[in-house]
This record gives sequence, structure tokens and C-alpha cells, in this order.
Amino acid sequence: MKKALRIIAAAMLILSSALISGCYDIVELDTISIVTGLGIDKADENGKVQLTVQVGKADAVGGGGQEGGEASEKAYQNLDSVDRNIVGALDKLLQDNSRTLFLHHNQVVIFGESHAKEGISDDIDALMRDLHSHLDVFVLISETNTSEIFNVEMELEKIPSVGITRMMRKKTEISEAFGVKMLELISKLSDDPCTAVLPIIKQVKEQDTTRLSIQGLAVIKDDKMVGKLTEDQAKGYAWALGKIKSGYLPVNTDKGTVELSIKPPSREMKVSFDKEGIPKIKIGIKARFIIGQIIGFDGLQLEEIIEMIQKESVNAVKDIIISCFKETQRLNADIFRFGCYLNKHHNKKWKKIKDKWDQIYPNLELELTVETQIIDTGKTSKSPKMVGGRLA
Amino acid sequence: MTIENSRISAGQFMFSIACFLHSSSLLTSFFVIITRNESWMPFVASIIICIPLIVSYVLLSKSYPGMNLIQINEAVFGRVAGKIVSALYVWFFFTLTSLNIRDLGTFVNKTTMVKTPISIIIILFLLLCVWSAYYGLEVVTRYSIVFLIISCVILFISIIAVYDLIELDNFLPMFDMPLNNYVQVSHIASTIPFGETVIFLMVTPYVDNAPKNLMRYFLGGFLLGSILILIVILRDISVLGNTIQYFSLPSFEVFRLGTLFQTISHMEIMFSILLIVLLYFKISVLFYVTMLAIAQLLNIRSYRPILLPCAALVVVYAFTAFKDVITHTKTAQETTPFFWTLFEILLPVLTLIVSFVKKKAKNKNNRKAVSK
Repeated sequence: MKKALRIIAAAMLILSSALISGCYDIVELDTISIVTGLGIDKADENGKVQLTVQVGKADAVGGGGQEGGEASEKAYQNLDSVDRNIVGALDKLLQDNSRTLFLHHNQVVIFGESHAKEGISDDIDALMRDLHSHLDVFVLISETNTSEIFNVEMELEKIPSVGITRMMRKKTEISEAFGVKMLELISKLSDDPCTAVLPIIKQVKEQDTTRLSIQGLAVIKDDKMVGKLTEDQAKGYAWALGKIKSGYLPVNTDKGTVELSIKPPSREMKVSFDKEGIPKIKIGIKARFIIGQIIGFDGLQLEEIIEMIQKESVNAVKDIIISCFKETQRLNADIFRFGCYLNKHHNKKWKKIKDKWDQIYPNLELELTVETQIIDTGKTSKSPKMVGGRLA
Repeated sequence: MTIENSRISAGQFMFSIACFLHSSSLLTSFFVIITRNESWMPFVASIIICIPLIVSYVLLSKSYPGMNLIQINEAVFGRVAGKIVSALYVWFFFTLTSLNIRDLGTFVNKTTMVKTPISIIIILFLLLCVWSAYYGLEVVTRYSIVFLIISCVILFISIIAVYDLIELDNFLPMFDMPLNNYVQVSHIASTIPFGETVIFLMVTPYVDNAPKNLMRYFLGGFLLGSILILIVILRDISVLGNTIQYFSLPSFEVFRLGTLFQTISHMEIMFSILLIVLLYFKISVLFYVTMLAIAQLLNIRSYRPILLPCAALVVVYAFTAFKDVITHTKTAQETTPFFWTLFEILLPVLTLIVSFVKKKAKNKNNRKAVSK
């Protein structure tokens, strides 16, 4: 009798804990709309923010149900709202929607350029504070209004924002420096000097279609966007950080051109100080290449060609780094984070020059030493035009 | 007359201490706000500072074998003063239990169950603790090793998952803050997780071969637990860097960032498992010790009849202890360490000194008596 009572009691307890502890937070799939992208723009109305939310439609993505037929149906929906700030705009969207916006799976946050020029920290605060938002979303800057970006149809992807995320993943395969995630951005914005870069996404119009392209970097200083780097300068940025992993570097010589496939370089950085405590930065880069294509070089030996390339590729690497460095000096934005490096490794000396950094940086001396090494010639060693390649 | 009849092995005792301490790795936000990416340094300092403290706990327990803290108080300070000191300790245990259960409520509320009323979480949880306390010390501490293994496995997986995000640069610059901050953090760290081990003085008499092995196992448990917290702090700093100061639950964010091969990502559910398992252990130990102390203080034969009424009091206390999370963090940073110093450092050390003096005086008297 007692045993039976015990079992009943235990069963009731387990049942009650199963039944009453979870039901408040129940989330049914058909009551939420899954947000896949957020776009934040400056609204036409003064001082207000336009929020674009891209929502994926699960049934259209899944493709199940009827075969074909409804292929033309969009797999996403863009919701717009204008309000005093993004929290207000989200709230407005929640109230005007039949479903709850589910931010858990958001993949990308895009800031409009005009908005970014006025500062992004306040929006980031809201995105950080929200319980459901994640810190591993990609952050981008768009040249046009973000609602246009979210409306560009992609051939292979059903939802633009998911496509953008995939494009970003491909970008980070070239260099980690191109893909900036929320955590990194927050970390950089809370450092001193406060500078960061964000990739730029733009629309490219071709005859009858529009496509998206991620090219160049936006320079953020003190949470405002202050300028842009071109795609080549962006590569220089990645080179200077030693964070480039793949891609091709064209090298021109008098005799011909070579395309070199980039292998991860090694990089070291040293700092020396003069009497007044003004730092001088020394960066040493050891680059490694594999030959991707040889154009020209008629009648030369492979050894000669490699010697020539090695010399010229040093200049090629230097040029793209210097071009990027000069541009950041012009913008007076320390995106290479030399200031942070000094703060971390030469803390006492940094404290003395910290307040003058804005004056020091435009005239900062950078000593660049580049060593290059051709480690392989690819599958072939000779090409038809070289000596011995052709019966001549 | 003893209230607790079951005994635990020395190993169980050690793992209980380690597990008890490890559960505090969830509360690192109290001090990472102050010293940010340098928090590990004052933390290590406080581990070293606390070793003599732990030694003094053990000495205290050794000089009164077979007695728990409440009985020791009575033996040292006499009947009336001893009861007063013991009553203070009971209040201290009670407060610790309530604060921890409230923490659990807020964390679960913040991380997994957002809309669930906090009272439901707390009451269900406390019922479980009552249940385990009902069966006594052996049951309360039995699973410590299992919990410790679970949390170590989760810790290990989380480190692998965030391995790509670890940047050793995040530990720099060192010694960048005013000395005050380091002192404050060392104080918080040594009172909030470490000094709380004073509650184990309530269970030392029930450990097998208590006086002999106690030093080794108490210190062993302490070091094991504190090194585990240190690993958690190092992991959090190396991943979050200077952003660690923003988050009220740094470990939670770290788990969120963790990914294994792109398919397994957003691992916060593991954090929730850890949270519930570890806090369950801590709270059930605290609750059990509180009940034991109350029964001992009031000379009741068994603590079982008072379990449920006291649980109800704990729930009420948990709600009224502090108004919101902001006040909680603020008091944890500024007031609590000073309060706790009284119970964790001053009183035990005072007890130890008084007992030494008493013994000396007794010896002298004995010698005098002999010489006469």
C-alpha cells in the first residue's frame, strides 16, 4: 500500500514538473517568423531609423509539397518600419505582425552607409542587449539602402540574407580580415584607439539583372564611418595583418606577367621608439607563393624567371600595403590597430603618446620588409614559350 | 546525540568541495566587470591567500574532533555567547541558500525560460533540494563526482568549440588598472566562492577518518575547484577579451559563440545543463547544512520536520533579499564581501585563537595543579 502510494506520488511529481515548468516558454514553429537578416538605415524623416527585417518562409525554402508550380513564389519577406531607434522599430513590427519575430537565427546585420556615417554604437548596444541575438553574426555596410540589398534576387540562393552570409563565408576563406563578426566589432569599438573595418556590399547592375557584390572595406573611426578602402587596398590591409590565406597576386615584370597564388604568409611586428617617444613600426612579412600562370617570358630559363618574379613580387606586395597604409593615414584611422598593439605590448610608452595619437598617426613611419619565396610551380614547371619548352 | 547518522568517505568530501566551488564559476560577472581581462590575476592571488584560511578551518575542526561548527562555537565561547555566534552563522547559511536559489532563478529566466515565472522555477527546484536533504548527507553529496565529471566534460568540449576564437593577445595589457581594483577583486573572489567553504565545517565530523585525512582532502578539494574556475575565467577572457565587461553572464556568451564543424553551433543549452546541475548541487548542500545548523542550534532530534517550513522561508527570503539584478551585483561587489569576511575569516580565526588560548590556560592550570 505504502509502496503504491509512493509510486503514485513520484509519478505525479515527475508529471507535474514536466507539465508546469516548460509551458510558459513554448515556441511553436507556426507562430514565429524566423529572421534571417537585419538592415538598419537612416530614415528620410530626421533623426529616425529605418529597420528592414528579412524573414524566411520555411515552407518555400523547404521546397516540399507540390513539385514545381509555385517556383516563382518568394522564399522571403521583407518587413520595414521607421521609428526613433531599432528597439522601437522592432516593437512596431511585432505589433503589426501575426507572428513573433524570432531573432535567434539572424545571420547578418547590414548598416546603410548614410546611417553608419552618423554612428553605429547605439544600435549595437540594442543588438547586444537583446536576449536572442547572437554575437557571431556578420556585420556589413551597404552603399545603398539595405531594403534594396535584401530585395536583390540571387540565382542559387532562395533567401538573399542567407546568400549574403554564404558570400561572407567565402570571403573569409580569402582572408579573415574581410569578415567581421559582431563580437570582433564590439571588441574593436571598445578599444582605444577605436577603429574598425566592415566589408561593403553593393549592387552591381548588369544589362537586365542586378547582383550583389562584396568589395572593399568601410573604415569606422569612433563608431562613425569615415571612409572606404578599395578592394586592392583591402587586400593590402589583409597583407599587412598577415591574415591573407588565398587569392592571386599579379606581378608585372619587363618580360612578362605572372599570377601568383598566395599561400598564408608569416608576419612579425616590432616597434622602436625615438627620443621623444614617437614610435616607428616595423613589419616583416614572409610571403609564399605558388605560380598560377606565366604570361610572356619568351626564351628564358625557369630559374631566371623565378629570380625575376621573386624580386618583383616583393615590390608588388609592398605597393599594395603602402597604398592601403597611405589611405588610412589620410583618413587618420588606425585600422591596423598599431595603437592597440602599443597599448598591449608597450603600455607605459603608449600612455604618454595616447592623447597625441591622432597627430602622430598621419606621419607614422612604417618600415616594411617583405621576403618572398616561390615554393612551387604548380603541376608543370616549364611553359611552351620558355627555353626547352618548344622545339626551337 | 547526533542528528546526522550517515558518514561519507574522504574522497566524497573532497569532490563535494570541488563541485561546490566549481558552481561559482557561473558568478564570475561580479568581478570581471571590475578588472576585465585581467581578472585572472587577482583570482590567482586570492587562491593563494585562501590556502592559509582553509588550513585554519581544518585546524579548527581538528582541535575539536567529532564536533560541527555549531558545537565548536558552544565549546569555545560558552553556552550563551556560543549560541549567539551560532545564530549568526545560521543566518549566514540561510542567506547564502536564498541568494543562490535566487541566482538560479534569474539565470534560468535569463538564459532558457524567459517567460516562466521565477517562483515556479525556484519552488520546483527547492522541492528537489528538500527531497535530497531528507535522506541526509550521504545522498546530498553522493553525486558530487558525477556532477564534477559532467561539468569537466562540458568545459572540455566548450574549450574545443571556441578554440578558433581564442586570442592570447586578449590577456594584454597587464597591470593596467589602479591597485584598488585588484584588491577589491581578490577580496570578492576570496569571500564569495572560496570562503563559502566554511560551511563544510558543518559536515567535517561525518567524514570517515576525519581528523587524520582532513587537511589533505579539504585542501585538495579546494585546489581542484579553484583551478577549474580559473580555467573557466581564462577561457572566457581569451575568447571575449575586452568585451567581457559588458556581459552579465560571460560564460553564456562564450557557449553561444562555440561551434563544432559549423553544424553544431549555439551551444548555450550546454551552459544551461551546467548551470542547473552545478547549482542544484550547491543549493542542496547549502540547504542541508542550514537545516543541520538550525536543528543543532535548537537541539532538535532531527531536522526532517523543519525541512518544508524552512524551504518556504527560503523562497520568501530569496524574493525579498534584493530588488533586482543591478542591486544584487552592486551589493555583491561592495557590501557582501565585507559581511562575509566576518563569517568566513574573522569568526573562524577568532574561534581558533580563543580555543588555543583556552587550551594553553588549561595546560598551565594542569601544570600548576601538578606542581602544587
